[in-house]
Amino acid sequence: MTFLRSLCCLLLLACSVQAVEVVVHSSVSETTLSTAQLRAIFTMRQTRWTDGQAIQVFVLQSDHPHHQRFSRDKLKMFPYQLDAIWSRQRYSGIGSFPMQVDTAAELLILLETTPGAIGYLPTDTLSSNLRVVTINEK
Amino acid sequence: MKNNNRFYWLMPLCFAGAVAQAEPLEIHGFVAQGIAQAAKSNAINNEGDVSLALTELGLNAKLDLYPRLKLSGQVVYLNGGNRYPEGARLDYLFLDFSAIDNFDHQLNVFLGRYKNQHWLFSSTRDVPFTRPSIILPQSVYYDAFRDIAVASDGLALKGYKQLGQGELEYNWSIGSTKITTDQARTLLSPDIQGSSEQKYVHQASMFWQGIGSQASYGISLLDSQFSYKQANFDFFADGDVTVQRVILNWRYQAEKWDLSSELFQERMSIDGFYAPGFERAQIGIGGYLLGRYRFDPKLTALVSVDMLALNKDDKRGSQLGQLGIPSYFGYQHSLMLGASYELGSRFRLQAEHHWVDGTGRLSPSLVPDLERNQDRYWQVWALQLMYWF
Repeated sequence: MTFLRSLCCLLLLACSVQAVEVVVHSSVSETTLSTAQLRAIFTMRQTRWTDGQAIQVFVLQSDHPHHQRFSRDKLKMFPYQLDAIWSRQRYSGIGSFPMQVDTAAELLILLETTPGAIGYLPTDTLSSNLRVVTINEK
Repeated sequence: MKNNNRFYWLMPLCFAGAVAQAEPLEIHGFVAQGIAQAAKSNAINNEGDVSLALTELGLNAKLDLYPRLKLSGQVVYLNGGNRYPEGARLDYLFLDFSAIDNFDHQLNVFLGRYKNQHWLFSSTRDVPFTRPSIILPQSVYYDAFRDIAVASDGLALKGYKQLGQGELEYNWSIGSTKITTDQARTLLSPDIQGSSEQKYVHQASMFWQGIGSQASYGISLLDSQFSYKQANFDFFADGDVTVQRVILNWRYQAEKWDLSSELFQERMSIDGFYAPGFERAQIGIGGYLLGRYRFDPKLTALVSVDMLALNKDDKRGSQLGQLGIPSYFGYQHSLMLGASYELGSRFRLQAEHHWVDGTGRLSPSLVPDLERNQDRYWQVWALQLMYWF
């Protein structure tokens, strides 16, 4: 009985963290990215879209449930790996940190108002002003 | 300020001049203070006492000059006791040109003082919160060699290429590092009167990670030559030292734990230095396996095993007896246990204890300190509080 109760709690917890979608500002023409390309963008190595526009990367704090879901589901990475890559690149002078914000509401505003922006949002907060990018898992 | 700072003083001028023309400017840094002790050895200080010589401060800036051109620099102040010379340094200052920037291939060219990007932890070994332990495995990350190995003045390339089955990272660099008198004394002998220089260091490395794999594999090659010029009144002679190193590395990262390992073989040849006409060449081997386990987002445990033999044909150092040097100067093996705790999003407390057999990686390297290292077995512990922004 205790086991079943624990299992139910875990399932409820898992369901409470909504799925996220990768979204871009309306100025971005890309509609599909591979997982490898998404990694190149979110590890801050790829800095320009194909039309030459600068990529602006926005994320939530590393311990935010949506960030954790995004890291695992979309990037196929653990959040601590991303943190380590950002720090190593930034403190050896060859990269930058993405812009980190505290809430999904802040993230939504920045994504809607920043040309070249890419980020992620939970499925129930997607905006018609943003474009959802399909991730090709190859 | 002292040490290898040929143009550290130019850094604020470079950034000040460029700020007026371009944005954005990013500034970050770190502050770390610790306490350490290595009884029965000169690893931290000559007396083997508890020491506060575990200070690391850094401030860095990165500036976008043009869409494809950036300027990056960092100054650090370090005090590690006998591990490396105390003082401020220009850690890096280079122009970063983005030569290829498309979705499947990125290539950057660095000109100036660039960081060593060829080993698993080499690029930020002096940035406390980015390295796994306070004192890194000495077989590969020999502290006395820190200033020479951490950065070089010259040209470097770094690229990432997406291939069908995974991602290839490649690095190449050629340059040299100015060796100050303090560094030469740490590395060679406190009794030297002459001057040392690194003629060149040429490195290349590749790392591979397959699609969907949590493992990465790499190889790194190094070729470097040093020279020593004797002073008018000097116990040592003119000499050349050549170092050639091959490192194989492997890393596996799971959700709760990760493993890292680097194995190396290094050929070192010495012509002169000890006496005119002296010649010696030997091949050293070593490597480490380091594991971390995350109990929760705050608490991480750490364990590593590190092994080194300076001469693979004499792994227990028995031939050193002919020179009057105890055999335990021919190797150094250690076990380390440690833990780190996140006190806040940018605060960490780290602690570790090393049990060591052998003194092969205590400085100086070429003329061992027999007086202060009379014990084959010794221990070192360290506790460090770090903050970064």
